Amino acid sequence: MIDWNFMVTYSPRLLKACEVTFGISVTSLAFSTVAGLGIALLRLSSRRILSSAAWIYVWIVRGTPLLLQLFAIYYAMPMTGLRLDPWTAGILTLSLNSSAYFSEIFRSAIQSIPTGQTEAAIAIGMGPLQTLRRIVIPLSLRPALPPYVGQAITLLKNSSLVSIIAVPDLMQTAQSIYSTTFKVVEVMLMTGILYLIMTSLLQIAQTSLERRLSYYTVK
Amino acid sequence: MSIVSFRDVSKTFGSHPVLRNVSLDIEEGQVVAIIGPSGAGKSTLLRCVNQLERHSTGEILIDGTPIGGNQRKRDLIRLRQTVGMVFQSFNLWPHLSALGNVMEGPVTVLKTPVAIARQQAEALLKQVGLADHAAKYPGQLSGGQQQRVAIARALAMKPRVMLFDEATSALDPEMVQEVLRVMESLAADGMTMLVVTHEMGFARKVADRVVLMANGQVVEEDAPETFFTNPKEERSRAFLSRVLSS
Ligand SMILES: Nc1ncnc2c1ncn2[C@@H]1O[C@H](COP(=O)(O)OP(=O)(O)OP(=O)(O)O)[C@@H](O)[C@H]1O
Ligand SMILES: [Mg+2]
Repeated sequence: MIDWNFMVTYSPRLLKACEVTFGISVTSLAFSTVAGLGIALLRLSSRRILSSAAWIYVWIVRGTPLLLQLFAIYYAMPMTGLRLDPWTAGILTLSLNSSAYFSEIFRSAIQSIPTGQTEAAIAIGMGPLQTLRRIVIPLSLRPALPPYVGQAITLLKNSSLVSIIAVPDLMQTAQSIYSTTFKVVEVMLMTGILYLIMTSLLQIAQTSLERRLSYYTVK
Repeated sequence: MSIVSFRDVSKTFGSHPVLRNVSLDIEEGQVVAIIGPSGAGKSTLLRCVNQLERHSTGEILIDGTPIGGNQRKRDLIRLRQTVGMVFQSFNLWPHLSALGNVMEGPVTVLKTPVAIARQQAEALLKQVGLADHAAKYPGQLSGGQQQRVAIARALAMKPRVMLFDEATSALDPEMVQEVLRVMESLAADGMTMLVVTHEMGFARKVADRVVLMANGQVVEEDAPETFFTNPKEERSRAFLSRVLSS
């Protein structure tokens, strides 16, 4: 039978660990969003070197396992003289990994904007940065939102991998609880529910943002 | 003094020539109607004026200053601001209200203080008959209304010359007139205009000069009366008999 008392006893510890998971995820989300936009713009650049470099980056990052990337940054980087603590290594890996996916999401959203929109901006006398800031980014938000949130949810779930390098996140805390109490079912049930709650928050944010952005449609 | 001069301008897409040695002068305050069959290069000619399209050879002068070529990007952008453009498909920015669309250029590009830009934009919307629609978004406006906002948006930059690329072609017939009336009153106010159009009535009534293009070349250039009653070129006669009979 499920031990309900046990769940009540351990839930504060797991809730505390949620803060770590959420903190790591949101930090990585912020970094990878900015980096993803930058990489998307490089990909769209008319300079061959820049777009090729961005293409290669996306190719490698999306084509190799996240776990391998985490090991490379945490265990292999010290050989180059750079030793990162587990937190930094975790956030860096998640940020680099997600930035590749975000760049593809932003690139396709930007490319979905009708060329007439940017031509109107150019014709009015805007420079490239003004066009980006005032026209391209606002118009990309709506098409980018669903896949963006999808990737953000993946990022949050993937953050559980940092438990392997001993970051005390939700997953790591769960493991340490059941390895001493052997209540695997109870712990996994609670942990699963907590992940679900966190990803649901992102889902709710998507729905409300979609409604906020729906007053216009790009034609 | 010409506001826009084409000097021997050519343009190729790949190996396909689209403009061939076009020379044309548009004087201050003139309205020049450019007509011709589909694929003649009319849009391309217009788009070269503000360098949405780069010409391959020859020179285009805006108020005496060459545009394009190896010009510094900053100078190109500065010069472009003196040319207003109205597109067939309006191209209003859907995330901004009508007022926002008109204010965008002055605020973002010219750094006009918002309060002043707002006043100017309201006056321009009134001028095109849309004072009551300032708060609406493009999606809430009819095609004719959108195009009039687009004209106001271009005028907000106080251009020296306005380019119209088939500004009424995407409109339902009942909305064509409201846009043509705005264009006509602009012409009457002395705006220099380069108008690509299929509206022969408009060309005849409003234009100071009619230019017929075919195959990337200027075939004939005349006063509207002469052009429509007694065209010199065989190709002009053929074109006119085709469009006027349909
Ligand atoms: N981006 C482009 N790449 C390749 N060819 C192009 C491009 N834009 C236009 N062309 C070609 O250039 C020629 C002239 O096009 P343009 O749009 O200037 O004609 P137009 O006179 O405006 O025709 P319409 O009345 O149909 O608008 C056409 O043959 C067209 O196919
Ligand atoms: Mg055209």
